[in-house]
Amino acid sequence: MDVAALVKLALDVEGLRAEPGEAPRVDQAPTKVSEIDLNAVEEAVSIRERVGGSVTAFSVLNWGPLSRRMREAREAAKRVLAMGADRFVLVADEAAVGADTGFTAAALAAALRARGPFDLVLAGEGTEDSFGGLVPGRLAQELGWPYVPYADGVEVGGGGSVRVRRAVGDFEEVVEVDLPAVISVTQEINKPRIPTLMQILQAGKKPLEVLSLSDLGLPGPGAGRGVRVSSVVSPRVERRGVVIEAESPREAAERLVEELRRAGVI
Amino acid sequence: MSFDAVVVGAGPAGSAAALQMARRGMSVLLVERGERPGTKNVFGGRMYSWALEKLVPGFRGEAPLEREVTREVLGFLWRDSWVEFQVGRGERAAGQGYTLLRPRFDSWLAEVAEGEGVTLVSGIRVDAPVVEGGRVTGIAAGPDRIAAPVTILAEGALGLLAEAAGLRPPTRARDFAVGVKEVLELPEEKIEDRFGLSSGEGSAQLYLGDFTGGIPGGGFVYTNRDTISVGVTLRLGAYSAGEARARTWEVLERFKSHPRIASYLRGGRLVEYSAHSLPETQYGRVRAAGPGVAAVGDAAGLAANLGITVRGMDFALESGRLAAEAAASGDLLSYPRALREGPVGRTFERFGAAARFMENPRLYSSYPRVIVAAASRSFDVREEVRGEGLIGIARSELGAAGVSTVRALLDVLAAARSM
Ligand SMILES: Cc1cc2nc3c(=O)[nH]c(=O)nc-3n(C[C@H](O)[C@H](O)[C@H](O)COP(=O)(O)OP(=O)(O)OC[C@H]3O[C@@H](n4cnc5c(N)ncnc54)[C@H](O)[C@@H]3O)c2cc1C
Repeated sequence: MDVAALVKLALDVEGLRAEPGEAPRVDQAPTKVSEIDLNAVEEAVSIRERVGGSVTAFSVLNWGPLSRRMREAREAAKRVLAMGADRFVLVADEAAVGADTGFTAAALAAALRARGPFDLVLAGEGTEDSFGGLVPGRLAQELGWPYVPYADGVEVGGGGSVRVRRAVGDFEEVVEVDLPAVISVTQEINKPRIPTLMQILQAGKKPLEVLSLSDLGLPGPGAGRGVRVSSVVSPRVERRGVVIEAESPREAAERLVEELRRAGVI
Repeated sequence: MSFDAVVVGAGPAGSAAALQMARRGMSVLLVERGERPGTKNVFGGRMYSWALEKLVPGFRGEAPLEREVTREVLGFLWRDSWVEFQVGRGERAAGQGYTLLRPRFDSWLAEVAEGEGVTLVSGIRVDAPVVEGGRVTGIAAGPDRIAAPVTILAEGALGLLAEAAGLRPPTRARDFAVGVKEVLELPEEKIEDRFGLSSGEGSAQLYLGDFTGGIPGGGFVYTNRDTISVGVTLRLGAYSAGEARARTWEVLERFKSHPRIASYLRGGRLVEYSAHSLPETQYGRVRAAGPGVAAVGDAAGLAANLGITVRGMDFALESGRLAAEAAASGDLLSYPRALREGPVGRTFERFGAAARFMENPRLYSSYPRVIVAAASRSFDVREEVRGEGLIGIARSELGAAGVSTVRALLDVLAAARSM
């Protein structure tokens, strides 16, 4: 089975710096592979290990500046290839930076068509920076394929379908879906493997292909801004700044309890 | 997959060794356990640049340096008063060094090495050197083994792999020093105004005083581009590691709230803090090379611990380069000699005296007080002229601090000899 896995270079939220009430400095924050996308890669690789075929990872760079992100993207690709993907296709273009999910999905669809055919597309249920969770569904629509979100398990039988397990509220649903299809996975589906030294070394020899929008025959700037982000600010967190001074730990503890009661915390 | 050499650790020593071997035509694998080189290194300090100059002559335009150090300050703090000795260099003095932040610097140097053809693998911890028949033949990491005729250990101060390779005696649990540091963010222009620097210039400042409560150690302030590194280092042999850390934070708070230091830091926003044990100076206790293996940088004990500051980045870079040259010449065992006879060895030969001098307890208790009190008294003007000379003042302050004049003169001589 030929599987595609979608991989986003998400902003590393821990590396994001901002003054309260101001926009975070996105250009200076590092990016890394969104955690749940690693579950998608793991699932794709383990499917190939079970039934044969191939795994291709696809990524569209959403964050700028491109010069810096390319280096991070190469590192990310290396990690995904070391986990066992066979090749990595990266769409990198200034015009795709900051594009909305509709445009990202269109770019992915074009890349999938150009490098396909594929039987199955796996993606994380959401990415850890914006967690829109929209790209897999919009991609399915672009491709005209069925879409099953939030998979906790994927079973590949013979024939042209797969069985997907989903935890929905407090019951479990099993869905059978005809291929080709798009499936988004949760973090519960598996535990992504940690590549070994040898696997990382071999990853260096696997193909990493970089495509621009014009390589894919897609329109340039101006396209894909159906949704515009009008502002991003970090919240103001007010601290009360109460300092408790006391003679003994006991007295300090008592005053702390008193203070917490007054604040209605306990 | 085979390599001419494997290097463990992408700190300055490891990247320098890898880079230089690659330049000499060797195929090199560099393995780093951090997710990226430098992520595990949180020092913000000052690097003397002579060794980098030899390794990457054009580094000035490329390396992520914060500021060139053109000011040196030695300060004494006593209660609310202080004395600062400032040395300023009008012309930029090449080789005197730069302040820098390690995560950026280390990844830059590793990239330079990659540019020369080094294969860098991050996120992998090397478990052990592979030793066969008294010879190191490569490394083991998880399920994998990589064989190579040359293995360079650049793993830093702990030196566990160097120990396993038979180069280093087991680490002694002796006096250790703890350092804590904060990085405070301030606008570039503010830093320049406060420290009296022009653009790109930096200041390296060391302090002794009563803020350590008599514990040997001191404080430091380094200016980066738009941050200030401030910290204290203490020799706390008598305490457990946990207790020592707690103590050290207290001392840092006292240091930071001294009016002089506070005036530098005002309005700074805390962006990072860290605590570290400082590497012991181990020069002479570590064999720098054995069959198939060499140790470089801190793994070879090449950190000069001078009480308040540690100097090691320049030694790390130089030792890495020398080991690489030896490996490329086919005679790795010539490296220890090159190290001993070069600037690194010559510095450490003289280092013992300085280190002993820094162990003098009066440096941390009586002298800051004597210096501050004597200096401030000599500027005192009251209604009456008292007419004591500087020597008279110094004498009476020494007396007040319980140090005899002869003792003090001997200490001054020792200081002069050890510098
Ligand atoms: C608090 C403090 C302040 C200092 N201040 C200064 C200063 O101002 N100026 C100065 O010149 N020096 C200073 N030093 C000393 C300086 O940091 C060291 O001398 C220098 O970093 C040594 O470089 P290195 O490459 O040998 O080791 P390190 O920089 O320690 O690098 C070792 C690398 O090896 C990696 N590693 C370790 N084990 C493994 C393993 N098993 N497998 C794979 N990778 C591994 C580590 O992650 C690390 O990246 C200071 C040190 C400390 C602790």
